[in-house]
Parts: sequence; C-alpha cells; structure tokens
Amino acid sequence: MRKSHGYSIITGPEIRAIEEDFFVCSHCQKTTFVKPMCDPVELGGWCGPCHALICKDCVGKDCAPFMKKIEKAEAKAAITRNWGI
Amino acid sequence: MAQYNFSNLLGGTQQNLTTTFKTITYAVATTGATTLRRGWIKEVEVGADGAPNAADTTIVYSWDRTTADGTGTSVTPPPIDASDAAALLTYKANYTGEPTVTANTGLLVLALNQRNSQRVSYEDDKCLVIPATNLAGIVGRAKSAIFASTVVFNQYMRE
Repeated sequence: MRKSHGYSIITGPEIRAIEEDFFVCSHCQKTTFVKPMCDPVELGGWCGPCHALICKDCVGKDCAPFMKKIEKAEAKAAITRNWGI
Repeated sequence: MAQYNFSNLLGGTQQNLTTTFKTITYAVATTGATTLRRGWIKEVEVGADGAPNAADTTIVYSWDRTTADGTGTSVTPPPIDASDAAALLTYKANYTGEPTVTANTGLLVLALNQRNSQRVSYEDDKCLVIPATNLAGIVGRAKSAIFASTVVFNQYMRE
C-alpha cells in the first residue's frame, strides 16, 4: 500500500513473520488492514470532502472527520466544566 | 511530545482471560487542573505470556472507546526519555470490573493464534487519539474461547 498509515507484524514460533499495512479511518479511527492486491471496495472508500480514506462502516455517511468530532466534544466539555455542571 | 511505555506488567495482578472481554489496559484523560489533555496511542504490542492451551485456539484483542471507568489498578508509565516529565493521563491495568465500552467502536481488532504476538505501529499523524475529555478513554481488551491464562499489552503512548 502506498502511504500506509502504519505497519504491523505478526510473529510466532510456527509461522513466518506476516507483515501488513493498514489505514486509519478518517471518520471513526477504525484500523483496517490491507491485504495485497485486494479490491479497494472491500476496504472501505474515499471521502472527497475530507480527502481521506474511510472504513466500510463510514461509507455512504456524511463527512464527519474524527478530529472535528473530538474538538467539538472537548469544547462542549470545557463549557460544562467552566459552568460547574 | 513525550512518549511513555504503558504495559499491564506495571502494576496489579494479571487476570486470566475468559470467553467475554477482559480489560487489560485503560488510558484516559481525567478532569483536573493539569491532567486534562490529549493522549495518543502510537504503538501496541500484544501476545500471551501464560502457558498455551493444549488445544489450538485464538485470542481476540480489541481496543475500544469508553464512557465510564471500571475497577483496575492505577499504574504510572515511565517516560521513554528519562528527562521527560511524568505522564499526566490516567493509566490503569488488569481490570477486575469492566469499564463501560461504547458499542461498535472497535478501533483496532486483532485475532491471533495463542502462540503468536503482534506489533502495530501507527504513523505519527495517524495515532489513536484519546480526547481531552473526562473519562473518554481507550481500553485494550482480550478474550478467548479456550485460552484461559494471561496476556501482555504493551503500548507506546504520547502526551
């Protein structure tokens, strides 16, 4: 995979080391492992508005980048904390 | 950004796996003047350290988001660079009471043979993010249909 989001390796006494690439969904942060030569449709999809890979579960849903969700949640928590709620 | 080595060997008693998920590690931001800040899981390494079962079997490892804490042992992950400050997130390990996990948030799910171990390393800008929100952390859990011994979770954390 070009521009993989990370690297994974499985090791054990009875196997050869298995290396895998993966990507992290831009909308939910789910990690999806990429099999060599697999059909891209089976992996998930591409979100045009945020210009990033997304997992199968997020395909067909509105663009909701994960970092935006976190920023929103943190802002909401800060307000409730400041108000002492 | 400081990096810390978080493992369930840092404290508490390792719990044997069962057929339902058992929480092994938990990293979260908790409300406080200095401690409420973001964390990132940069890398995870998992594997069984208990004796393998005679029957060939798998162990399922899963990292999920939480909304409430359970009962675990607080641990203090040491900084990788000794000159860095102490970790400020809350870290717990070896749970005896399960935290509340948000459904369908399997951020990373691994199914491994009991004799195998796996390392997953994220690129710097793709790490799993722990928000700076009270109790919205990430747990590392494991279960197995047959393997009923202990596993080790090792995570490289950033704050």
